[in-house]
Amino acid sequence: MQEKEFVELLNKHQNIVHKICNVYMDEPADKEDLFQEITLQAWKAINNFRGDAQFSTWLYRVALNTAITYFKKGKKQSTTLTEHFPERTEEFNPIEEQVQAMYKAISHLSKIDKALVMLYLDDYSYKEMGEVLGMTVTNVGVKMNRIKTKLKEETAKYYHPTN
Amino acid sequence: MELDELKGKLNQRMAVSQQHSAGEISAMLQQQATSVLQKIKRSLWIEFALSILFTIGCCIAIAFIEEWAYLMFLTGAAIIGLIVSCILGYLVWKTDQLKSSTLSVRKNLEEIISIIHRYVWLYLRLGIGLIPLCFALALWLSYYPKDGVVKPFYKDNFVYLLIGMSIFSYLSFRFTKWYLKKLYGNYLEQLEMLLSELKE
Repeated sequence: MQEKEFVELLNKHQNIVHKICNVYMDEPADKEDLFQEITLQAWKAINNFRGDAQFSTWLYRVALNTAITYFKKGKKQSTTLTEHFPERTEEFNPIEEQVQAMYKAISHLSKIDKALVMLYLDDYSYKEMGEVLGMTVTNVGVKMNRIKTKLKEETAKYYHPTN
Repeated sequence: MELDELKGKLNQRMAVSQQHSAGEISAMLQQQATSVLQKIKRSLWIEFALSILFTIGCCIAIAFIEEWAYLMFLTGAAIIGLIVSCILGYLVWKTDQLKSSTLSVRKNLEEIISIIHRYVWLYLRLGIGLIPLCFALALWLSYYPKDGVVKPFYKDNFVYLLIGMSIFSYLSFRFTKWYLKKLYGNYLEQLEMLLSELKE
């Protein structure tokens, strides 16, 4: 694949990479570094893309692999994921508050659990999630149930509708 | 509140970011990767080139030196250099073959862990193994009979040398281990933790 063609494809699907950078990194500079690393890794591996799978699935795999094995020296890995949210105003918006609380809870998950949540939110089936992560369908199901319970409990800590 | 209830909203929020232009993405392709595997690849290439240069250097020196002991020592060093070059060449080839980012996350983790383990193993063995080997070779050559005359053997000197060599070997072993742990140890631990989480 030519560079121009690759850039066009990545440009079209860059939301996937942004999503992964937002979930795995906190600081804007770190997100930018991770975005660049994913772009480079995808470019290096592009000859392995055979076209029988969707480019978005292939990119997800490369991006997750890069993000999961990417560690910043001496920096805290967990992210609070709250910077995209507006400050709380006088007008209380329960949906926004709930989303923010859920986002915060996701930020406390492990790297593997974050990957599962992201794939789940993007409507991947358990079978597809298992293929990307190298897990059995049963394992994905068990893990997803655990994650959902954990998120429900964690979210309750951050969501206070009476405030 | 359930994850499924907020699916759409969360998905939207996660993608919020300043979009990159095609030009910016093109510029990124000219940069250097910073992953640990890329760093290992670069180090392996440098070490491979240096060990070949070392072997060639030894061969050139052998052609000009007439002193027998030096000749033997340099021949030994050239053979060791050649063996190290072959091992490093093999590792460079293996690492270059690796296109792990398109594998499943689990396979990718296994591949990276195995490469780092192999690299660390090679470093420890070479770093530690070569010191006593060179020392023993040098010692043997210094006592080797030249023109039929055997040099006098001083037992005290030999004992001191042996003690010195043992201390030096031990210290360099500890240092290499500490250095490798500092470079890759923590990273390796984190990768192994992720892998065990996937295997749970």
